[in-house]
Amino acid sequence: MKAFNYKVGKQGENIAREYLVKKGYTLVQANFHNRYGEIDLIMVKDSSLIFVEVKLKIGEQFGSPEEMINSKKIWQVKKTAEAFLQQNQRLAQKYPEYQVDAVCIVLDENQEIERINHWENIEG
Amino acid sequence: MTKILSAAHFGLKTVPIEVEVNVSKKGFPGFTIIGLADKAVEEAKERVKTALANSGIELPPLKIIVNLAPADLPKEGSYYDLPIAIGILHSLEMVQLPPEKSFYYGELSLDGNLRHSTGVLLLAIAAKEHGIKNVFVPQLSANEGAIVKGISVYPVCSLKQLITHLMSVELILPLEYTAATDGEETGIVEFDFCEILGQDQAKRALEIAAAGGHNILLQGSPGSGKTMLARALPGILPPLNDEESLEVTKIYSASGNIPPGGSLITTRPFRASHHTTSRAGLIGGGSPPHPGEISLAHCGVLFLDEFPEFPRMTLEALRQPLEDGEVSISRATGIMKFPCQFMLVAAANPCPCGYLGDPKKECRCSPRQILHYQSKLSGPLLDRIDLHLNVPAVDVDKLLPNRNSNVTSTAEKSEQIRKRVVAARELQNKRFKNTGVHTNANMKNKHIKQFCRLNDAAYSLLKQAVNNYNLSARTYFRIIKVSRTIADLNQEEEITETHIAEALQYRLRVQQ
Repeated sequence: MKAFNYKVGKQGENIAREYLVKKGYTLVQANFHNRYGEIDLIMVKDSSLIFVEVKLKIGEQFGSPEEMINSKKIWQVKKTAEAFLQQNQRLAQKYPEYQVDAVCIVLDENQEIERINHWENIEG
Repeated sequence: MTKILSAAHFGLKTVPIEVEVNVSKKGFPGFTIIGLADKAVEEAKERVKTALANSGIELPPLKIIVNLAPADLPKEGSYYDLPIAIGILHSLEMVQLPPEKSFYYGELSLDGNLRHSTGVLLLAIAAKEHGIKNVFVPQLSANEGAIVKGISVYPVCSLKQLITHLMSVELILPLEYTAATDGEETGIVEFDFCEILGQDQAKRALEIAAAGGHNILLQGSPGSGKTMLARALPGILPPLNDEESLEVTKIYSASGNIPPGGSLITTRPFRASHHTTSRAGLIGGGSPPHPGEISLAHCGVLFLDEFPEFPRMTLEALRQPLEDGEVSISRATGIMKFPCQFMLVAAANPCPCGYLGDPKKECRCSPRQILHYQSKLSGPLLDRIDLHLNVPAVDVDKLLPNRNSNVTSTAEKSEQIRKRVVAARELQNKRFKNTGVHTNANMKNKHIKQFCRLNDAAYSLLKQAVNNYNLSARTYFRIIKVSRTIADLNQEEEITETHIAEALQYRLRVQQ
C-alpha cells in the first residue's frame, strides 16, 4: 500500500510538472523536503516563485483531491516554503513574493487523465 | 449571496442571527464558517455536505463561505445546519425562498433527515416578537413551537421535503395552534399518601407546603419515612397554570429536556438532587451559563435528601435564589438570568447517629458531634425555610395491620388531599393574576400588605410570639405567608388566630 501510494504520488508529480512546463513555468526543484514537510514542486514563472502542492486521485468516489488539501496542509506548505527561502537567500532576494498553488489531478480506472485543475494562490 | 434568518439562544433570551452564505465557483474549493462558531457549528460543514449528497444533490466543487452575523456573538449548537443548507441551495438557485421573513432552524442527520433540536419554543416566541411569520423546524420538535399563536410553524421531516415545499411542488402544512390544555394528570408518583402509616402531622405540613409553595425541612430518625413522604409529594401538587407552564417549558426547551414530539409541560417538576451535585449543577453555571437544578425545579419542587451532607458552599449558594425566585449568573461571557421560584423540600437526620430525640432509641452522639452536625445548616438558610417538621419514628403497632379488624386504612388518599390543595391554589391564581407572583410563598411585602388581612386576635398573638421568641423580620413575614396558605386551605378570606397559631408551631422548633 505504501509503495503504491508512493508510485501514485510520483505519477501525479510527473503529470503536474509536464502540465506546468507546458504552461510556461520553469522547474526550480522537485520534492524539496525538510523537517517541516515536503513541497512537491517549486517553480518559477515571470517574476514569481511558486510552491506547488500536487494531489492525485484515482476516481472521485472517496472525495475530490481539492477536499484533501485543507488549511492545515496549506499552512504546512507555507512553513516549509519559508524554510526553503531561508536556505536559498539568492532566490529569496530575486523573488521577494511567493505563492502557493495546487494542482489537482483525477484519473479514471484506465489511468487516463479525467481532469486536471490548476488552482492559483490558494488560502486556507 | 444569500441571507437566511436563524436564531441563537443566550439563556432564555433569543437573538435573531443572519446566516450569510456566499457560494462562488471561482477560487480554490472549500467550506469555511466564520462568526465565532464553536466546534458543533464548525462541524456543520460535514453534516451539511453529506446530508445534501444523501438527499440526491451533487454539488460541484465550490468555494463556500458562511458568516453568522452579528459576528461578535459566540454561537453554539447544531441547529445552524438547516439554514446553511438552504442558503447553499438558494445561492445555486435550486430553491426559492418565501417572500415573508422566515426562521430556519434544525440539526441535520447525515441521511438528510432533521433531528430533534433544543430551544424551538424560544425560537417561536422570538419569531412572534420580531414579526417573523414562518418558522421551519424539525418535525420532532415542532409541537413546542405550535404553542405560540400568530405564526406558522412548519414541521419538516427531511431536507428533501423542505426543498419540494420551497419549490412549491408538495407543500408542508403548518401546524395548528394548540392552546394550552389544563393538565389534569400528575407525573409518575411512587407512593400514595394513604400508603404512609401515621405521620399525620407531617402530612398536614406537606399539604400546607404544597398549597402555598412553602419551603419545608423534614427532620427525623432513620427509617421514619422522611424520604417516603417527600417522594409522595408529587401526588398532591396542583397542576401548573397557563403562565407557569409556559415558563417551565421555556426552561426545559432551552436546556434540551423536552423529549422528541413533546409539547407544553403541564405537570409540576419534581427534581431530586443527590448531595454530590456540584454548585454549578445546582445553581446553574458553565460557560455559556446553563440552568441548574433550581431553575429546572421552577414552579415545582426541589428535593434535597440528606440535606446536611451537601457541601456548605453549595447550600449557602441557595440563599439568594430562595429569597428572590431568580438567579443571575455572571460569567466572562455575560450575565444570564434564570427564574427559580421553587419549593425546597429538605430531609435531614437530627444528629450523626440519627436518633437524637427518638423516644425509644438512645442517641450515641457526643454533644460536640451534635453541635458540629447541626452547624452544617446555617441560621440564615434555616430562616428561609417556613416549615420545620419533626418526623418521629412510627410505632410498630401501627405498622402491622390488625388481623382482627377489617379496617384497611383510615388514611386519606393523595387524591383527596390534592383536591384541597388545588382549591387553595386556585384562590392564589385568582389573587396573583398578572402580578408575576404565583404562590403565597413568593409574595413580596407589598403583596402581603394588600392580600393578608389579620384580625385583632391574630395580630396580638403574632406580636406576642415575635417579642417572646425574638423572631426576625423575615420570619415575621414568612409566618404571615404560611398563615395565608392555611386560611386558603380553609377557604377563608381573613387570617385568624388559629391560622397564626398553626403557622407558629411549624416555625418555633428551630428556636429551641
